[in-house]
Amino acid sequence: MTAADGRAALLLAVVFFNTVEALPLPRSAKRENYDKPSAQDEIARWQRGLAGLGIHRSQAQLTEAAFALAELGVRARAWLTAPARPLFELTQTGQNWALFTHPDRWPARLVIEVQQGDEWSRVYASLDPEHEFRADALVYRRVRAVYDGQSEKAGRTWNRFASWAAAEVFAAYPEVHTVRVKFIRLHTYEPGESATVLEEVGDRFPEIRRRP
Amino acid sequence: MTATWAWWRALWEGDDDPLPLVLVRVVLPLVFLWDFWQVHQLHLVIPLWGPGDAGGMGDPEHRTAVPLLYQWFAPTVATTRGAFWVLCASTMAVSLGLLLPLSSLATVLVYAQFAEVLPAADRGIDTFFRDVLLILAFSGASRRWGIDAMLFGRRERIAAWPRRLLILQVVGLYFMAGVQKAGVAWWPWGGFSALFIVLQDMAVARHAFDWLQRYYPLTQLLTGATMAFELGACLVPYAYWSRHTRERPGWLRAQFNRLDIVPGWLLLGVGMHLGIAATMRLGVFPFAMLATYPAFFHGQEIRRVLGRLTVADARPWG
Repeated sequence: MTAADGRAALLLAVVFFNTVEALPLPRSAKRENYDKPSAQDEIARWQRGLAGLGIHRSQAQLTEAAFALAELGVRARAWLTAPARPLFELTQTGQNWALFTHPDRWPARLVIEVQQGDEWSRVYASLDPEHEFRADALVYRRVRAVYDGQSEKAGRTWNRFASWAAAEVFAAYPEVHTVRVKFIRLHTYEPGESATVLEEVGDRFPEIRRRP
Repeated sequence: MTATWAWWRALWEGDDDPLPLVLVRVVLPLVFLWDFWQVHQLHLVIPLWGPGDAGGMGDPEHRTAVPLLYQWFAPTVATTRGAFWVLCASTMAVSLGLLLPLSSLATVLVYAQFAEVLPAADRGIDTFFRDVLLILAFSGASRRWGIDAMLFGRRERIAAWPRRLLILQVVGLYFMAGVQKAGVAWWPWGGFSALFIVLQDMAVARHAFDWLQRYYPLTQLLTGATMAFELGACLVPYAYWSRHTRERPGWLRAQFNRLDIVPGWLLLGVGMHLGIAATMRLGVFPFAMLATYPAFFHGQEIRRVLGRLTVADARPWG
């Protein structure tokens, strides 16, 4: 075996594992994710598209089929990339290029409010030029990614993000004792669907923090 | 089998002008240094990557799987700050071409720890940066216009495989991004409404686009163009292969060589990324992607363009 053979063999392994890693297979499959409004909205749109092709399935059937396919994909990827997994994890490298795969028709707007008497007033709201407290940090890509990922299902990180945001408010406004961090859920309409583009649907995941 | 193996082996043989990879090595880390500088300026080092007890959003030291950074070192603010400055220094070393294999690997490993501390804050472009660094580590791209060239000797040629692998990486990213766009809004039967919908997302949009209904057909056209660009990426390797085997017969090869789709495809990519930078808040993503585009050109092609610029600059005004 020559050096050229060795290099070719190594590159074959690199290309193989990275290609499998890049395959459009799901990385996790959680049944509850398929019941979310955005997922059901997507499945309904696929149902209409398939009906146009003469394939008629109920929304429930398509939901189950999508979940079963996802589970299979997760298992296949895990098995095929098992030898390279430790290296992928140590270096946090990979080939997950899922960029705006499902444009979200139910986006969320981040809002931070402070309590003054019985009233709540805004200090920050996404894309609101009159309420821009710490906007530079809140729209910074890494911070945005922390809260944007929580608007469907708030987790532990949302809780900690709210604590951080509240601490920033307390530091900037000594007179403030209570802060509320929340999302306002929106629904995007395409032209022809509604007279308006965005409609506020309601508050989500409000977190209240009091000055320690 | 032997013929296939010989073909595969030959695909990675040969040497190359180092200029394209040198440009990537210099510019891409600078893009990320700018990003790290923003983290520092916005006082986000600790909130993003610090221990939970100090306000870190990832709360790494209380998780079941504690990242190695906080297993090996005490979960303190000093550890976070130390790791951050090591990351900045090693990224700068990559750009300067100082001990490139070592500095690239150090950057990957430290950055990977930050990715583990707060996975939500680590995006696709950060993974891409680490992927590219692993290629650069073994490229020899610091042996020209780098400190390593002064320390260990200058090389006029470097191995060709790292540039080819980098092209494959970038093309693979775009193609897979296109393939994974399963949302019906990206496709004709979904009305090509994806960009319109994305630009209404207040977490992503740079401006309020509530007036965009008037320009809906334009957003549909740009959605289609995005898909054409991303899915069209799969043609790029064949375009290079056609160029490489120009002397062989074949109608398709001849058409690819006649059309030379790569410059046009890259121009579409430049337009797409500048459009993203103007309309969305995705941070360094568009600029980091553009920083890898020199890899698509031969050194001679880049020299020719730079030469033209130099000559043009030397001309007296008027």
